[in-house]
Amino acid sequence: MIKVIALLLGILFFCNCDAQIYVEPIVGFQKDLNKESKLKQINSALNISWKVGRTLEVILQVQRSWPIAYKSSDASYTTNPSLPVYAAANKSISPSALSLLVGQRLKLAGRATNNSLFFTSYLGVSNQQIKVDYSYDKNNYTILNPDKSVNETGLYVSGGLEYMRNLKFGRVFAQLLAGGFIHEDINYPNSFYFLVPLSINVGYSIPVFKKKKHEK
Amino acid sequence: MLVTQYLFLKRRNMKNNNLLFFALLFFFSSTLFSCTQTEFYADSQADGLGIFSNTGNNLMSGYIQNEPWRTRDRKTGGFLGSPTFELNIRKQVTSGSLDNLIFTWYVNPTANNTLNGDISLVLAIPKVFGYKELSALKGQRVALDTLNGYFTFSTPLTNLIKGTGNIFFHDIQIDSISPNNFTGRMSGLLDAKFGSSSILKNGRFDHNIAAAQIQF
Repeated sequence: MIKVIALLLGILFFCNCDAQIYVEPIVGFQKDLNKESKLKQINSALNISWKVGRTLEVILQVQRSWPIAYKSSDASYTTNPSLPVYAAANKSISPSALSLLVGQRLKLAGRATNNSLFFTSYLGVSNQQIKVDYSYDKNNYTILNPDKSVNETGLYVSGGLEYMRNLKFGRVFAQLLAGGFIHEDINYPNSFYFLVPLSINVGYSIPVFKKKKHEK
Repeated sequence: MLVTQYLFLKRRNMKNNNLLFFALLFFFSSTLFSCTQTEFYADSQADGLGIFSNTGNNLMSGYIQNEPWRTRDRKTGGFLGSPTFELNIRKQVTSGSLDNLIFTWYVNPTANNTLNGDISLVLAIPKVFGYKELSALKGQRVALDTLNGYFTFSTPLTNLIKGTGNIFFHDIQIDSISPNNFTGRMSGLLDAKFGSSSILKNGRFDHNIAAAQIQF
């Protein structure tokens, strides 16, 4: 993890130090694209963006996905003849994630206007935690095919489109991104997989260092 | 031209050799060595036990005197050995008015997987009981009171002990694939009390049943 952070900082060090720098708080919502998954998250992130050319920005992102608990029930059974053979076991699945990513923002359209369209992509390290909680009579019942909490760290990639509008001070943007672990997998027969989130985010881009006049 | 043709033929020959090598490797590895067909997924709610599942994990596990026990692994027979099964189902014809249907699980304590004990479920069944009637147990919870059936438990260190108990067949399906040849699946829960002291609790089983495991 330390090596990855050092690599990311190294990449940023070699960015043009005179470049326009933006700080960008982002919030959004994301939904898992895995088949039949109903897992959702609130997304938040903080970008530091370096405008290294007319059409290219380099980004360092710290991203946190907050869980929206998905509640459902599994079947549980008992051999105790004095109890009903079946009872529902209430289940709550809470997926969260913390990521450190480097990315790029490549302008596709809108060079001469205040409205621009970018292709944005990120690569980095992510920790995904999917917490499973059950509420049931543990002394008498046994859950059939129970889910289990998982926690994994691995390489993460995401990409998508971003619309940006220049304002008098700063920029606002909306982005549609899809991402996922590159090769991490759950070695347990859970009813879910690691999330492949489709996220819709909005953000505000605050210029923190003004460019010198001759660079405009 | 000739050089190109020579290189092409040489490369194709190498490709064929590789294919032949991997085909032979696959053949010898599948005939010489046996494969494990048991999947053990630890139950986070019950230390040392596998989860209660209905996906064909070929495993029975439970606590005997609060110590985790489980069935031995099912293994395909390679050239060097015969297959091993964790469960055997057979019909025992008796001279009385009822026959016996006997399910035998070959079990070991998790801490000593060479003890070679067994747990049997003996059900009293009518003479006309066939494989189709076995499937009728699906969803049934049966309390064994020694009149309609009983459990037995034995190890090389102990004599065979009879017991009462309960079994719940979450699923049981037996199909005929040819005369006197059957396959199927079964999963469920069980608990038992052997003699005055030994107790089996939190028992759970999940098996895909091969033809060699059923004798009717």
